[in-house]
Amino acid sequence: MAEALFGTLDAEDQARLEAHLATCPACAQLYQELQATLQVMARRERPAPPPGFWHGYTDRLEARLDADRRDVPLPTSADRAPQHPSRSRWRTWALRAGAAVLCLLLGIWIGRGAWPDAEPGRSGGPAADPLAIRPAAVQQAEQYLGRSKVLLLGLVNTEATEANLAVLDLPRKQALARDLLVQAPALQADLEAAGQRRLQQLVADLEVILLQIANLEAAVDVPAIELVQSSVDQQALLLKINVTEMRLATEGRPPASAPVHRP
Amino acid sequence: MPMPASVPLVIESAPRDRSSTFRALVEEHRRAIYALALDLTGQHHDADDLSQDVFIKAYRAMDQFRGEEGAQRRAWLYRITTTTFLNTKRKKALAYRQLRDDFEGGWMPQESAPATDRRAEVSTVQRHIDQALQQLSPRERTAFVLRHYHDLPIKEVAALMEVADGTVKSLLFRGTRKLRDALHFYRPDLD
Repeated sequence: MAEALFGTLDAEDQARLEAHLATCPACAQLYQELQATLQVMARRERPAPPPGFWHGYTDRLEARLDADRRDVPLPTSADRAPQHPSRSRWRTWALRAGAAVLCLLLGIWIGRGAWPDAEPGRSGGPAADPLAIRPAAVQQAEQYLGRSKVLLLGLVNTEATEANLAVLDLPRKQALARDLLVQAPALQADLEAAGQRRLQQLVADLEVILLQIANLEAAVDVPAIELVQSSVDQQALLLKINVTEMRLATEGRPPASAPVHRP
Repeated sequence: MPMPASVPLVIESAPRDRSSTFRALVEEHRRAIYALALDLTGQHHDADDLSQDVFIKAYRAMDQFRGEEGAQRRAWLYRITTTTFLNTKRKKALAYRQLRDDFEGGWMPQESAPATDRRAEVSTVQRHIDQALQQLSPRERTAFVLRHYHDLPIKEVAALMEVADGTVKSLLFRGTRKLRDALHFYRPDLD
């Protein structure tokens, strides 16, 4: 039947098929339905690419080839020394403190150098528009990252011991993780449609950790909690969230206190 | 002086010649490759990525391919497109299966259908057709798209997908039945 539907039967086989269809109502109905389906599918119109897509397509491709040739392979997870959760809590805290200092310095640098000039009509920079509207997906992602950060901070800043399990309040964290997981696919789809690939990747990275949290045993499971804490550290998720939040905060929206230069 | 009938893809390989040959290849085939990529992936961004991946692979393999102009080059690029698409889908499915295996018996969010109202404004029929295509497996979709929208004979589809003719027929039959179920409310007598 597939050969008949897609037009590859010779005359003899075609006659044989038709003879069978004349005596088999079930096959005849199936054949008719499949033919009708193909007629519907033939109505498909392939959407055109967005305006301007072809302009510079080859240049973009060559730029990617150039970058590909210069690419230095990044260390893989296999190259990193395994972090033993029970070793050197001091080291963990030192790393977190260092990351916090780095974020602070980065924030100061961004704040000094990256605010767009607030003077309207000035060429060379984006117009300062306190009411600049960003894509809804980006706003949703900001909220999503904020909630994820609160969840992760609550988890990683509490030492995983049996005595602290009540403080950790796992059931509440798991409920939050599950809520975030339910939102993740739609948010990723929205971010992809908005061309926000980096945000989409960060949400995907968070998804793995959230799954781990959602599946922690509610009873005593200190090693599993330590594993989640270690994963958050290894992937530098909190640092990525902080940097992303700072980047989003500086894109096209000046702070309320930004100086406005008047002529 | 007339060009010879058969022109090697790579003409003596000074970097500038290689680059200009590559540009010519891209300019000639980019629309066809993008069209196939869009039919396979269903999304503009994925189609853009896939088409670029195809040309990057073609660039790396240019020295190994010395084919005729036109149809053979197109077939070569089509083959790279289908294998890249299927390999990517396979890796993503494996990664997701591994993730599910890791949490077997545990909690997983319910899978929901991808949102479709973010595509460019299209008629309802077009949207349903696209949705129906997304319900096919990657291999069913590849076979269907190549046969139905690119008019390739079954033998050629089989060669591109590196499977037997019978496998292609089976994929087409199964795929069309799935499409029938997805589009059952569209009947000719309602037009």
